[in-house]
Amino acid sequence: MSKKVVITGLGVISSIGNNVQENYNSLTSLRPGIGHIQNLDTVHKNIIPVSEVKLSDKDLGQMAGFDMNRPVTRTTLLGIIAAREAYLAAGLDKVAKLRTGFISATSVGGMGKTEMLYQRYLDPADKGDFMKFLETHDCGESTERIAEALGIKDFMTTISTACSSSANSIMLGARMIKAGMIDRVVAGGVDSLTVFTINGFNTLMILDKEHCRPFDDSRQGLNLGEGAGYIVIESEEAAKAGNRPILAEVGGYANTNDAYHQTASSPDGQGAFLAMKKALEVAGLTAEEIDYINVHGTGTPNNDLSEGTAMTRLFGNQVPKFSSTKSYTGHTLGACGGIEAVYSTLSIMNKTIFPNLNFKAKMKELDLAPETSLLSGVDIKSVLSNSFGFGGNNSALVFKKI
Amino acid sequence: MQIYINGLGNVSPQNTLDNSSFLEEIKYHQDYFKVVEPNYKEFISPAAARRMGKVIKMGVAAANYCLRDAKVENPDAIITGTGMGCLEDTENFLCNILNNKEQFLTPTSFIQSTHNTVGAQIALLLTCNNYNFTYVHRDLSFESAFVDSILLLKEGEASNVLLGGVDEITPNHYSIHAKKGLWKTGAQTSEFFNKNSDGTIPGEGATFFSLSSSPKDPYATVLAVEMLFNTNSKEDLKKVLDRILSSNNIQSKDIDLILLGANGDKEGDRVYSEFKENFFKENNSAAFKNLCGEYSTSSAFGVWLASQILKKKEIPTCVSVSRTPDKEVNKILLYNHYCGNHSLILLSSC
Amino acid sequence: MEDLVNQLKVQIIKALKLEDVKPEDINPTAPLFGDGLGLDSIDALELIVLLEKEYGLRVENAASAKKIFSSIKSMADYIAEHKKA
Repeated sequence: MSKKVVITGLGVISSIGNNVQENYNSLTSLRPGIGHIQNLDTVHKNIIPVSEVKLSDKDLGQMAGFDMNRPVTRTTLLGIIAAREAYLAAGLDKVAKLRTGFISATSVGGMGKTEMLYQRYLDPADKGDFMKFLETHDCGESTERIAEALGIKDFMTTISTACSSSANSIMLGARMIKAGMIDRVVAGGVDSLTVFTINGFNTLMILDKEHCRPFDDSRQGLNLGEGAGYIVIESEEAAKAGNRPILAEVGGYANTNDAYHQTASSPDGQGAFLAMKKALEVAGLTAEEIDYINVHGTGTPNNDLSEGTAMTRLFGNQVPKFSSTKSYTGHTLGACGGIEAVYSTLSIMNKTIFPNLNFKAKMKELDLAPETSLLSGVDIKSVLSNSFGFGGNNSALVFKKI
Repeated sequence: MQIYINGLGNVSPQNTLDNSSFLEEIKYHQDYFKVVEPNYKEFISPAAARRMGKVIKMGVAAANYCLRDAKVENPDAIITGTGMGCLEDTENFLCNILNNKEQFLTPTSFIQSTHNTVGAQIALLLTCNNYNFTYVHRDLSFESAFVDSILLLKEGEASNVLLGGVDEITPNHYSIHAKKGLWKTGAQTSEFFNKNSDGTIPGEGATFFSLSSSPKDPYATVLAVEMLFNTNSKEDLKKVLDRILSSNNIQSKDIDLILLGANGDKEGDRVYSEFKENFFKENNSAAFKNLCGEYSTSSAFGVWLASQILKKKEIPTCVSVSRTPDKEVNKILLYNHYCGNHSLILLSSC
Repeated sequence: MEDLVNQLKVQIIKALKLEDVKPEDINPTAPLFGDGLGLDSIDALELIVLLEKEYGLRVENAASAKKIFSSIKSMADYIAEHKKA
């Protein structure tokens, strides 16, 4: 069980770029992707800002090389683009004989198509070609299509635990590799923006009408985003044997439940605290050894206060440098753990901490300030990445420099 | 390490919650299978229940029964599989958006529409801070959760796991898929295996298991849980079967009952008859979906049935076996298939 | 005013699915949240929509919501006051 699990490939598409390099460029040039809604038909169009991938489904289809005559969702296309980038970067296409798995995550799967067609689905008289999209609704469908595009058949599954979903797919992948169940895994998650989620979060009154301001005292809520983030993980031996580049190590992971409320986080951040503590234990690190935290930091009053409280409980007055990259990408729900795993790895590889945009003043309750400018030349040995979701689902991952 | 099933809780279209009888009387339903709903007030306070959709209540009740059966107060992990998630709440919120043109929307159905709501509500009611995953991989959602549960026990991260499969059916789901010709529409569930009609009859259920690395008056022990993805190759199936048999040092003749997920659909059921013909020609076999219907996590019902048969040492008459068993049933292999995805689960008596 | 209070009670019971509560069980001046009816933050959001849908009144922020929803009486007062204007 002492096998090291290492990262050998990264892939990402988000509002700030269609691949890893573009995302890195935006992160280091302090360029967020938040703006007006372009790709969705909704009454909130010019009121609620979002963080969209600025490509139509048709463009994404072309980029993904997908036969658009087949039924497909935006979720699947985003997923193929990011997962394939990771897969090719790790050179997995050149290695046969290893047992390869694909573990994906999504919160609403094919809802983007369903919401457009639902009234037609319901009309018994309306029977057209559109009915083929019915099978694209459920969460597992995108996983099957992405796995098919990569040619992965040995193992696949889909996790849906709201906003911690893709952190959990990385955790499962790492555990399976350690247990020797599989040799390498493409793990992460994807979500596309939908009218369903925009209205859902709007009813909760946690959408900021301005750019989100994680950890700032004036924060009013989150901005929804979309995208996909995947990493390739494998055992260190396999990576070395195959001469694949080792980018970082998945050192620790944990999942806990806050068991406090269906949507709200507990005032003492118990679930978050336990997840971070456990992830450090698995990584064999003390709190002092964490150099940077890529926080969940959605920008809602409740999350940031609860997460900040949990950080203070764990790190005392020695809270490491931290930032929320959701100030660039918005909250990509089921994709955020995957996207932030990519960013955390980039932080380690490039000795860089990406700033928390839009922060001005500490919240009254806590003496905590995120990094507000780009820091380079920082020797980052360990990063903690948090992802928390509805239903009190809290996950923390630890990435280590190798 | 041995994995034991120490407790069961099953809210299904049959009377399966009451452990004192075992499918003595079979319930038939019109159009599709609907669960026999227990008195939820027994498990959920009115304050907590008022916002819960049906699938959440089903799940919480089944989980509760299961923990009570296994005498576990607070599980070390809660792992749930659901193919379609909280359908009713998802449809409610979606219809409200479409009918009210995105105005006057309230959050409750949106909140409950999240796929991990069942697992989350179980944790909330138990104040369980432990590991909590939800798998949503089509017809392998329950199997994915099962594989993770075993891994967690083998890692020593848990000494007991609450594992469940939950899915609900709604009138909208039924009518939309009827348009695609998936069902034997307008049928009585007694016609489940009517070979003269196309399609199957859908159902629903919430089935939970308390798994543990140490036996406590167990129902069965779990010898294998395997999945095959996106394939229809006989060779692929054979490879996995051989692995299951050799890793348990048994031969195909040692399996006393093959439990098949046949669902009455002519086309799909050919896969099951080929499976039987190719690999288990001489073995006794039976089907189970005529009791619960077809749904993404119906294999959980199959595992429940197998566990009961192994512990009670009896096959209820409503389960029609290909021949009367001439010896005690000690090993059951469950085989389920849907659209190129297959699962094989091997259980043994203790 | 009494009519409005009674009407509100019925609407709230329906909107929040308080199946075991009868209108006469609710004391109009008792707190809705915490001890009284035991409502929570999700119920508050439901009540905001109720005011908007049934009375055409928009509650913009959480701080004013807290005051308005302290009891049935305070809700009725708020409605009476703003419907006139």
